[in-house]
Amino acid sequence: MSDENKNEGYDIAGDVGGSNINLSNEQNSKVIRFNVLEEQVYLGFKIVGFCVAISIATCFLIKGLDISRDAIMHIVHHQAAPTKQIAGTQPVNKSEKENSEVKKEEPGSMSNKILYSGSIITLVAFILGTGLTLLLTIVKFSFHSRQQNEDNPNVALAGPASELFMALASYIKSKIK
Amino acid sequence: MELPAVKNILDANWDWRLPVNVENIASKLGVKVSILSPWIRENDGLSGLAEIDSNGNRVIYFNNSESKNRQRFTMAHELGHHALNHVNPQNPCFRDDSNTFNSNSSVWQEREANNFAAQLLMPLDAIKTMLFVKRITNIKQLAEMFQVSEAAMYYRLKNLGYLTL
Repeated sequence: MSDENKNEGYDIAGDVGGSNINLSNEQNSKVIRFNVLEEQVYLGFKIVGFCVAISIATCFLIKGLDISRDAIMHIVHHQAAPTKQIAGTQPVNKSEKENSEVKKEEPGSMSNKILYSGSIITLVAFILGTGLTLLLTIVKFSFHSRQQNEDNPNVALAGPASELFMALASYIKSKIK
Repeated sequence: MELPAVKNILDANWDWRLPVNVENIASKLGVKVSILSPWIRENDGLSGLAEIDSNGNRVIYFNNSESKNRQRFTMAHELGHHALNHVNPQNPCFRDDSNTFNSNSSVWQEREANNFAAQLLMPLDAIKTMLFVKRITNIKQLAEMFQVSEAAMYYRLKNLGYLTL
């Protein structure tokens, strides 16, 4: 970039100004009023968007947790049912040794149930994670400045970790330059 | 986009009153403000001057025969040369005639100093307060409040995106 072009893109506010500017106050006032109103509406939409996104995110999280709890309870219930049945249909003449083995298995069976429910929890967590990431993106954009660096070469990512990665990438890039 | 240098200076030295007191800010930054002597021939046609004197002090000069608004803009412009390190031991003097304040100035330091002056005299927060809170949208009225010319206010609003003509 040459020295002469360093500030291109700005109209510089010279105190004496250019002679070709339109200082018709009535027309300018109308334009300013319109732009102010537009920005206020934009800010209003951002606030509404933020509130809606947060509300949906909260509902989503609560619903997700509820579904996860139901899923776990459902698995626990299904796994407990055959055990009870087996326990109920146990022959009366079963030896004391065998009975004690069944009793010994009961505490251990809980860990197996958690192990089996793991895949469902993973699935639910994945869905939750995806949904929340999308909602976080909306929340992030509601805080985003309207005129912020449009020439930013970085890809916009949601979440603090991604911001950290982007900052790290920018730092490395600046060092390479 | 606002210059970070202006933001830092305003955050540290502006008393949140309008019009912005440039002389007060300059003194807080350790920059001496003086009047251009009309008796020196070299000063003919000059609006302002920013220099580092023989003692290493940072000094700005302005032409007090010009209008009050123009004087304020000149002071802010010269202060910009110091704040943006355009004036340094290698380049100890910046002489500004009326052409350097024009929006068509081709020297990037002058354009940057003009930008600095506009942002210093018309702080973004103050502009927003006037537009959004006090609902003042008349350029003439705004210019009077900030003690700048209407042209300066016009360009400031245009750069901020409030004037899209």
